[in-house]
Amino acid sequence: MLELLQVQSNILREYRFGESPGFVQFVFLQFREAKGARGLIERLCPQVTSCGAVDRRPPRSGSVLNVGLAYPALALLGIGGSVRALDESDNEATGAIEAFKCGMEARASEVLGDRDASSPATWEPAFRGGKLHAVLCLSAHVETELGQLRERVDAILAEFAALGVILIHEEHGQHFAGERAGQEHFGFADGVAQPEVLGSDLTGYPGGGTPAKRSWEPLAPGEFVLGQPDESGKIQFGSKLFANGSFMVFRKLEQHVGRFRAYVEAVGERNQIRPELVAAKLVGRWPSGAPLVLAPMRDNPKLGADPKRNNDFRYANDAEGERCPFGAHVRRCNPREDPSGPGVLQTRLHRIIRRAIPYGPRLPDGQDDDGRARGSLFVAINADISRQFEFIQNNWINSVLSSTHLTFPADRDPLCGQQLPTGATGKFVIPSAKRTQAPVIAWELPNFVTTRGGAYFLLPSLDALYDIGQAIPWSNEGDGCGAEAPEGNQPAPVECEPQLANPPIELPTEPAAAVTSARTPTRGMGGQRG
Amino acid sequence: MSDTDPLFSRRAMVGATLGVASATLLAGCKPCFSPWPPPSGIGGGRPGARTFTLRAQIRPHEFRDLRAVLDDPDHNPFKVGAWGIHYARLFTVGHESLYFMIIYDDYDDAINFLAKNAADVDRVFRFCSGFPEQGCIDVEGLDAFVRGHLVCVELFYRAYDNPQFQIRAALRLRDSFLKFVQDREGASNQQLRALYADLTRKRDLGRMGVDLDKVGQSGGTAVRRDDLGLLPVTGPDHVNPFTLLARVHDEKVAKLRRLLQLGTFASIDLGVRALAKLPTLHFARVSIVGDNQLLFASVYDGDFIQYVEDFGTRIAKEIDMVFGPCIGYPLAGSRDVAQFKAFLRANQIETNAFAGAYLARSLLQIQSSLALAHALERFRRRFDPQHPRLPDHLTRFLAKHQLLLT
Repeated sequence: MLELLQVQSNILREYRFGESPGFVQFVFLQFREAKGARGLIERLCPQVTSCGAVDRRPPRSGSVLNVGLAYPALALLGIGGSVRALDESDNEATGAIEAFKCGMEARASEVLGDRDASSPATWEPAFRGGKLHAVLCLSAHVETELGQLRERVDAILAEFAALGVILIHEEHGQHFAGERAGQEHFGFADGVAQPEVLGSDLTGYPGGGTPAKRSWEPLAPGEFVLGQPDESGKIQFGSKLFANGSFMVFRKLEQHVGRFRAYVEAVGERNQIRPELVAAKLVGRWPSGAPLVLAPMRDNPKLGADPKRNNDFRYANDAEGERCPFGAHVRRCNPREDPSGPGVLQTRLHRIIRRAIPYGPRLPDGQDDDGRARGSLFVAINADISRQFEFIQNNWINSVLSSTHLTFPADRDPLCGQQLPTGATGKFVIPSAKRTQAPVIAWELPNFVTTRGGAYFLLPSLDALYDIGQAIPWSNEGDGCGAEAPEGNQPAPVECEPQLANPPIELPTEPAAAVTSARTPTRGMGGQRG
Repeated sequence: MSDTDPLFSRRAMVGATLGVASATLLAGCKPCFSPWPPPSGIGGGRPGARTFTLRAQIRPHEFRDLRAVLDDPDHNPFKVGAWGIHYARLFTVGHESLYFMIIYDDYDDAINFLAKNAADVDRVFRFCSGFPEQGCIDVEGLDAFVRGHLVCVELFYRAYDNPQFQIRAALRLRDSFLKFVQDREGASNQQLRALYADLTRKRDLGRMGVDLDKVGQSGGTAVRRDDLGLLPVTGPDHVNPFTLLARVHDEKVAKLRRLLQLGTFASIDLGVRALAKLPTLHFARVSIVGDNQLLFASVYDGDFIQYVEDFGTRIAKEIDMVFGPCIGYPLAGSRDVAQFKAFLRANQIETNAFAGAYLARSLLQIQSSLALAHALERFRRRFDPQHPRLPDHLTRFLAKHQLLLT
């Protein structure tokens, strides 16, 4: 069982299909000085929502506040030391911490494939130059409740404006109303396939975990919560700053709805098939969320709305891609046990929790592009940014995918992949199920999605936030006496050394250090230390 | 690895018998993968690319100068492409050894390739002892130098057997064919016939047919010169080299050597059969150099992490057999992906120069192009542009071979 009262609620709550809050705001902050940052975190700390707190409320009620810190903030607060200390014990090959330290902007063009119109140089100014220090994620199911929360947050921010806390950017997302609820701008239900996490205290839906012989095995909690055993049985990020936290990837993705509809229309017309079918083949699901593997010919809204069935499928019976094409978005990004794909053992290492919400007005059906900005505020939760989010983006969306049918450089994710600049080579094959019918090939795929910005954040546990706010120093070694040494193959300390050998991290600006260090034994993460 | 391994338990008996037999037969001679194809006409053996690995001794105190040449961004030892070369690479190990590895269709092609690049290759090899005075221009001297410095290749894996010119032709053919498939959309019957006539008239398809008829012969002199250029580029969306040198536990060397030799000689495709499960691996070679160093060199598509994970998840058992005897190999084997990555990173050797004849083409493209070329040639012979039911048959052809088009 996870320490759900420690884990922030946007890590493991309200992410599954049909549960996500309808109104979300992201408030991006910059800190000028450590004092103001600590003060703000201390002040916000009691308001931050944990998974446990969400569980205590009636379903779909109340508002939620979550806090994420980017690496520049940790450096400013002087706890970059803890991050550096982690470098040594962390597995260098995975590069887990490196992604977080470098930030999304630095890795965008090389790793994430953000080139041309998506290149960081064209991003919105707030996301460039490492300005972002923190993000406040506010969400609610009812708009008025979000408004009330925002007022409280604004009042707190106003207090700290004098201490150098600056609101530099904000993003507002909102699900569509009525029957379009839960859909993104292209018109498809979003966030259907979500991982089932062991110990998260949620009832699992079939299809969420890793396919086993007759069932689905939940994913290890360490894939999403730091300091927990992950799929390879290791515990990474066991130090106090990280334990019970997670990493959050934020990406603002602009969707070119007019372009998408026109393209699908054109392909359908050229090949005499319905445009809806073309669009569904690109995605791998129907607008309702019903998967093509289970509903190959037409949409099945009842199936799409049933969380117990809409994700319960495998690709073993679709080895030729006749139902769901090999290159379809859902088949690329979560290949399950696909016999032509990378297989179960790899797929389970690359799962993410997604929480995307649309921004901008919906383009009414049949209307030409009105030039207004619209898209998706995409959030991914994962424990290892490089192994999970970046790997999927780099390998499965923008490149080769270890597949026996897809190949680089032409075959990329048709929906959100960054197509080759020439555009002439990007294509998408829809295999035909009949011997007398040629496959449909969608040629010259344009970019339907443009990246407008993004950043990586750490979502610390509630205790870690408290400690940061109160400037409680941590030792560099994590809780060295536990059995949970961060690195499995390194000799664990035989006995607890007195921590005196390692001076606590200097917090020169904090006069209260002497007082707080006295409190350390009673207040800390993961309970008592030896 | 373990005795319960299904692949090997079944073959354990055969393996043991053949191991003894081959050890007896080959006693005294050094059983390596031969850089020279077997004489044609007598059984032939498996056709396809050959390889050699050359290890030259860097003269004492000259490593730094050599390094300066290798690090010079303007210096490219493989600038000029040559007939029959698939991939070539160059790297140094320690301060003593310079390695040159090449995959080619014929040994003479390799020598010719070096001679063509004499100016730049000489700049590197002149730091090595035994290199001919006149450099690569002196073909006889070069040949003697290569033969005198060969390293035994214990295991050689090839994902395709076709000669380089054929692969190039097939890739071009596939491009033309895809263009044809695109153009035919919405075309009338008459236009379709015209397009098809155009396609079959094209040199690519015509020559492909000729080439396929002449497999194994020295045909295709009509190939344009620029077709053979090697592209010296690496990166994502490209074919990349991987080189690894790891120390083997002394007491395990003999066993490992036997295992690798079985794979090559007794035609028990130990690693080889398994490697075919990797959809991104073009070539792989394993040698044991010195007394106890395992040298692994491969050519793969795309991202390194994806490649490593393929190792650990698709062919874990076989990889454990080959790398298992190395010092520092993870206890849980390659299934422990994180530790396995760390092992590979720790023992990886920087490849100083790498070139290939089709670096922007993936293995799947090459394989599907070759398959498509054969199918298309058959189709071309059966249906001329005026065939009454050409459109129907074309549709059936596309449906039948749709997986080759992705």
